[in-house]
Amino acid sequence: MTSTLKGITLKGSAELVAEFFSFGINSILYQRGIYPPETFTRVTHYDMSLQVSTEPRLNNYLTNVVSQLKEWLFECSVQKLVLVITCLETNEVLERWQFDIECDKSAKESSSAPREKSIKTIQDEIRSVIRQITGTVTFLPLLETQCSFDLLVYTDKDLVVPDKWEESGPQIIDQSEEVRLRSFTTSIHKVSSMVAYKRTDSACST
Amino acid sequence: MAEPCLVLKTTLDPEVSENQSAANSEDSRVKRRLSFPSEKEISSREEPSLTYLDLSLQCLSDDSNSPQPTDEKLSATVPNGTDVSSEQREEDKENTEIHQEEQQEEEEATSCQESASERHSNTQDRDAEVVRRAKEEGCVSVIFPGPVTQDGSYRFVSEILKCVLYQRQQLPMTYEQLVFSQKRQQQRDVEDKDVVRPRKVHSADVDYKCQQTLQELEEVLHQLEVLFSLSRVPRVLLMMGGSLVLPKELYEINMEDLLLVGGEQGLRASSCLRLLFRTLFVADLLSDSRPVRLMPTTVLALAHRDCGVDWFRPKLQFKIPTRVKNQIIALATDPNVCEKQREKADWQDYVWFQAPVTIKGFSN
Repeated sequence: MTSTLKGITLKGSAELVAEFFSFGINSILYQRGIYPPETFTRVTHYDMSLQVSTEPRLNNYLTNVVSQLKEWLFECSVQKLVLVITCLETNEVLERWQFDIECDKSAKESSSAPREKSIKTIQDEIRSVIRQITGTVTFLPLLETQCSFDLLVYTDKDLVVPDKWEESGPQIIDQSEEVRLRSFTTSIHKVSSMVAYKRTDSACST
Repeated sequence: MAEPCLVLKTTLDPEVSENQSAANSEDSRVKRRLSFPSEKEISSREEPSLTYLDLSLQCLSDDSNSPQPTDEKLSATVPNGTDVSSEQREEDKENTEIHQEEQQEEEEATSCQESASERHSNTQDRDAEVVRRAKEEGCVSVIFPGPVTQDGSYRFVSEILKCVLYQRQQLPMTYEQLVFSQKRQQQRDVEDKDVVRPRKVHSADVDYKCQQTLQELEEVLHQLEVLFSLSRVPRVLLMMGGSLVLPKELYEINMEDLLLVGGEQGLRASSCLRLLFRTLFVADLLSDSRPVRLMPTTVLALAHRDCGVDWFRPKLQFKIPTRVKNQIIALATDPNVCEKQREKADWQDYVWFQAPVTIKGFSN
């Protein structure tokens, strides 16, 4: 990865963002109990404790998705990454984690100079987003049924769909509430996060 | 306006390795629907043939749930050899009724959508106000739609304390995750007790600090619970770093306007906690992209001078520091609710009590 000494390039930015998605998705799967906690192991990254899955098949899947995502980030052709959590029994979408991605396409030009933003600052911003992801557990409705998840990628319309990918519906939640998380930027890619969840009719609903 | 886009997802399935997926291509379309069942699902589906059968059944049921085109609902068949004109009139009548029902359903759906978007807009406005107040006034107000129990009010304080410690980077993980992690480590230690394995000094040191912090925190939480059982506690202070006179950070949980009731009459604490933490989250009072240094956290609570608490120490001369910004989390009951039950609260006989133990925090 391009170091802070020379600034952030498009390639370095794509790697940073892809890495965030890898850890972020693992965090969501852990925090929301999509996989049992004993299938996760603790690692240190971004100067914080993170949980990553030890399931080989899940890791293989995530590696493939993130690797493709990195390519698209480098091409500035990806607009969103969405993690959809669905009730296994009813197929109802219960939660939707949406990461909007803005790319400064001027970074693609060969004459574009690396951006002066330190990796440390970027990682500090990422750390606060991941802490927020953890913090959402305090108010998101309990996922009481068995759930599965899907990863959707919104790309530019003229993109050639690669092998092992297909078009999908947006899988929107019926009657949802939304909360925005913090965003972070590498100065080339900006990632804004939000979570939408099924509205519950409790006495204390907003 | 959103840019036109493609929505893509991978056809890979983690339940099947890449080598197998080509061989199972016929079923891959069906399997994609399920994507990633959780571990519990995996263990309950041991028979591969049953898995495929379940998948195909699921696909079928999904198809049947898809909405039917409107035209099909209006179609009606005319039986052979019957009076076509009277049949036609019956059909027309049925079709009109069906059409009217559908119009009604559409109107209801539209009004549902409108009220859902109205609700969404109201929530957005409320959220914007929460953010504004938090930024400009350093205050987050949470209004509950009814009274709560004394135990509920204790739970608010204990959960806020745990949240503050994690979000202010005094704990590397949430309290619950730390407890789980410690238990897992203890289990491993018991299982490996006959195995001689060199442990890294750093790891042993972190484990020790983790245990110490958990003990301190659990002691404070337990004693707070005892205090709440002895007295109404209208205010709690969390003072971090520095000194009692000039802490680095100061958070107040103000519950003076919270209406308390006994037994089953109060709102469920879990619902209130969700509202509380959603509001805190939106206010973004606690998160910080800058690293925060480890510092000791001291808890002070306002309670009745004669409540008989012995663990907490009375601080009769204590005054809330004014030279540091006091971030206030104000919990209150909606004033329009239970108006008659409200009594004017008198806090004259209430004094500050300080926990004798500080929570030191640790990092990896």
